[in-house]
Amino acid sequence: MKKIYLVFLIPFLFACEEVIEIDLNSSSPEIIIEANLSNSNEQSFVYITESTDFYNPNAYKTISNADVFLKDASGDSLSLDEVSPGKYQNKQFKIRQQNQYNIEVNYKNQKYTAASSAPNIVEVDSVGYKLESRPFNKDKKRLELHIYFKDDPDIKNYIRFVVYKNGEKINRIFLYDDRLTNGNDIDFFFFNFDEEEEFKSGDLIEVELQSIDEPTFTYFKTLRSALARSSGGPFGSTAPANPTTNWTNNAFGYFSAYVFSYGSVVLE
Amino acid sequence: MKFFKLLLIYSFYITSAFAQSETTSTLSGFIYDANTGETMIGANIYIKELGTGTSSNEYGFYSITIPSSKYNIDFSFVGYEKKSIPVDLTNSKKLDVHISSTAYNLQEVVVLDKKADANVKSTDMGTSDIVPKEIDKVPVIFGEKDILKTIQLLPGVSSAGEGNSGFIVRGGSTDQNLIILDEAPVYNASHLLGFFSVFNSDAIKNAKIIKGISGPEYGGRLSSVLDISMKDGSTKQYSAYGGIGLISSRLTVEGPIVEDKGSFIFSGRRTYADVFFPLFGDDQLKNSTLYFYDFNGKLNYKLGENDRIFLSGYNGRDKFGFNDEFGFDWGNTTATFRWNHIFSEKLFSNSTLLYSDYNYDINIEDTEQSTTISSGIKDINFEQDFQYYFNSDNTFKFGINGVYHTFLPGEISVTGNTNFNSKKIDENYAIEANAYFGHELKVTELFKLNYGLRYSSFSLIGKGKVYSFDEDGLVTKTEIYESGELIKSYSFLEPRLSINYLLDVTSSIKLGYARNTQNIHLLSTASTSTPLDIWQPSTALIKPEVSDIVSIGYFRNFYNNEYETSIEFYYKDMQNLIEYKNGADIFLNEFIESQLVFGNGWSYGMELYVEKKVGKFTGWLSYTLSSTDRKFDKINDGNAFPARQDRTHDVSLVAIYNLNDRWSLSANWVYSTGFAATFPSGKYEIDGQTVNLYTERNGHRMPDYHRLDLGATYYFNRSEENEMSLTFSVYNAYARENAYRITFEENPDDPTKTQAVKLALFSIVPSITFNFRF
Repeated sequence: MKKIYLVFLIPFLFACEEVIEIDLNSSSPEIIIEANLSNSNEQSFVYITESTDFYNPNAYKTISNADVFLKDASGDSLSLDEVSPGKYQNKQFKIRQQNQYNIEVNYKNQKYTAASSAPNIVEVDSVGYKLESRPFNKDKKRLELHIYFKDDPDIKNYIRFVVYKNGEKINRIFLYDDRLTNGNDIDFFFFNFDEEEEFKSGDLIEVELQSIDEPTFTYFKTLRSALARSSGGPFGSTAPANPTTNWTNNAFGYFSAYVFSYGSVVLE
Repeated sequence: MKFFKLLLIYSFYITSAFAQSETTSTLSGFIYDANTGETMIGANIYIKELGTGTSSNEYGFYSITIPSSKYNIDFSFVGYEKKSIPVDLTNSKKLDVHISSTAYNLQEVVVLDKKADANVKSTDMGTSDIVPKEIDKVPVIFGEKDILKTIQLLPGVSSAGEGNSGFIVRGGSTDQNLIILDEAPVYNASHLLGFFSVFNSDAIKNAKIIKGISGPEYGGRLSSVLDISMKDGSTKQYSAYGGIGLISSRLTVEGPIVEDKGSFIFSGRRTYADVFFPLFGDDQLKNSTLYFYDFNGKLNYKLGENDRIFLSGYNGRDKFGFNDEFGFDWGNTTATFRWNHIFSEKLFSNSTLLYSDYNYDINIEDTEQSTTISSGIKDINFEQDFQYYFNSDNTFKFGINGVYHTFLPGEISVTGNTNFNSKKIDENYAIEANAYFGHELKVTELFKLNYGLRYSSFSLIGKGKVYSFDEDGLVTKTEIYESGELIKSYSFLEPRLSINYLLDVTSSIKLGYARNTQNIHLLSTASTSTPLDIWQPSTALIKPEVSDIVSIGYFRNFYNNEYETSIEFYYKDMQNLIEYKNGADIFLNEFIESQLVFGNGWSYGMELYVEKKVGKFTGWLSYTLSSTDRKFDKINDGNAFPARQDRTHDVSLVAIYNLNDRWSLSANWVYSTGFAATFPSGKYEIDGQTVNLYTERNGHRMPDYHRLDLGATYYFNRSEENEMSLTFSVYNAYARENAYRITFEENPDDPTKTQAVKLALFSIVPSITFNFRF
């Protein structure tokens, strides 16, 4: 589908961009809970912050001294401890596939809850790359990253890829769902539009294939148009909105209990 | 009881109208352009002795029944010489009249016919006619003259976005405009994402826009009707004309099949940016295509005095291809067959059979696989219309219409090694059955009434599946319907009314009301029209959109009708409007209904219009002050919010100055309040990335939009036989960088900050076009 977007880019060849001053409303600070729990205890944490006004610096107040509890389907409960300001963890604990979890955050007499189900793990078959020519300039090649895996035909698969280049996370949201591809051998590929950030030979690419549940998928899908980055496609969506969260009590953010597999490749 | 009383009075009136004591005779016939033999739409017929008159219909036919006597009858049309003909009307008579254009004797002082006051005297409200010849000189982007761009300069009509041929009428959305070309609906009226419209001005005789208060013969869209008539072609002589521009070239040929009996016209246009691709010396570009074309054709033939048949068609497509790997094309096809028959000098009939089709195709192909995606809509439509000219005070219109719609929501077929599965979303089928009746009557010399009723029905039929959804959009039930089985049916009675009260010879007050319904909805999650938008029928879950509009206006002409002015106020209420859930996926989705939310809207405003119609200097000023809101339970916490269509102020100024035989100059200036947009009120961090925080829908405004365009045309020669000219135009002459989009993003140089970035599409765009006719 990416090539379709190229068509739509044509009128924008004339376009020019400029930073402008625009008056914006201010908003009262909202609570943001990012609860990312996985089958690796290293990567499992809950991060609680507050929102700020748009023109303030990107420094977000962290929320300390909140009570954070996790419950699994059997009713066992454990608490997460604050390991650094705003960051809560319990390293004794791992998410298991096909389990449902409930989380509860108590802060200043407010209770926030969310639920998430960890699906089956989907293994990365392999990670590869291809050298492809750039559109409108065949002499310049670019590296395309390919992630191969098998889509299980019997379940609805929702997947989020997190990709690291030389140990540094690529700040893009890569999502996959099997609505149109159920049961197939999947070749998920992408490249960087930005020439400067292109993959180069020698780069170490690591891929996390996260199996997530539908609410988490919806969250990340709707997060795209709210990101303070370019605008989600050349048109922009009709009306940007806050991502669809699974938290109660007007908290922002998400709770995802997921399981992941891993793959890597060194580009040559 | 009140209703019965009214009914009684009404039937008394009708009987008395039919009970004529005097001997009357009927004068009828056609009005033609003397030069080309084209029939004239809306030409005036005026009987001085009686102070009454009529006008020709959309096929140039007129009929008037008056007391038998001798009369001097004037035939006129703006921009044409008035013709006075003495008629001895002791018996009913047929009289075809040919009137001549004044376009080629500019040096003469044009004496405007006193009766060029249709705007004051007719019951039409919120209606404008556009003749392409008159708008030739209005400057446009890339020099491509365009009817859809010109109507955006009228009051109550605004642009859907920079350079966009999509238009908004009185707070409605762009899919609420019924755009018909020789009666066939055109489902996607834009090329290249809306930068150009599909209507090649050279092939068009007349375009009429009705902003909501339409007669009962029109229906099916909430906000407006844009009725475009193709030229019939000259029955007198062969001619060819066209133009060569920066973006496209066009050529039209027309002429008689048999002189004064039948004629043809063929008109084509093609863009050619891709013709230059090989010059870039790149192999991939060499094998790429990027163009659109339009082809219009029309034939007509007079079978006898009382019969005439027309066959017209349109085909246009956008084609994009990249190095044989990828192809994307989309377009419309329409075909219309019409038969005009005059049953008697008072009863005019038109029968129409038409076909309309819009579709797109995407092909992705490489050595391992090939994928094809397609979607579209198809209509077959039969219409039977009658116009009965009872006497000079009473005209009746009535007719029936049936449409068979086929919706193809989407299909993907794959071969070879690919991620995708082949999939087809079931087609939808629907039948529309409509009937209407309208009566235009002159109650007194000063008081005219035009009322009517339209019955519309829409039935979704099998085979098909009906899904029920829970709160989260998950399917709870699937019902299967067999072929031909009725799935869901809606019917409406839509009253239409307009009243004209003449205050004096030059001014009138008009009042109007109309109900409109819409059963075909365009689904699009992008802010601009894209070829991937889907036409969706009403279903059990998607209710028909319904609007009620009332309007009141004061119309006044000055200086012998040299200046036309009007002020109109309107209020429009809209129900069952459609919006999208956050993150809605409408692409190849059989559960599309679960992606939608429904709500209401309203719009009100004031429209001011001043036009100078004749002389060396012509042009108009339009100003609209309006407010448009939407209210959806599931958007903005259920609170009303300004619609994207909401533009508080909207100004258009158009000026055309015919300097001399050689030069004609033009300018237009537009200003509008920026559209309502959703901007963030705060921000936060997720996954190490900054996320904007929104508090209210459309709570902010884009910066105001304004722009000046200039044009100049130089005529090498100019006569009735041939013409050659060069048109220079400058779009956005003072290079205003109007905001197309504003994004709120991290500062790339300082990641600790965020900033607002404005994207402007066009700076100053000059262009040149060469036009010819011989």
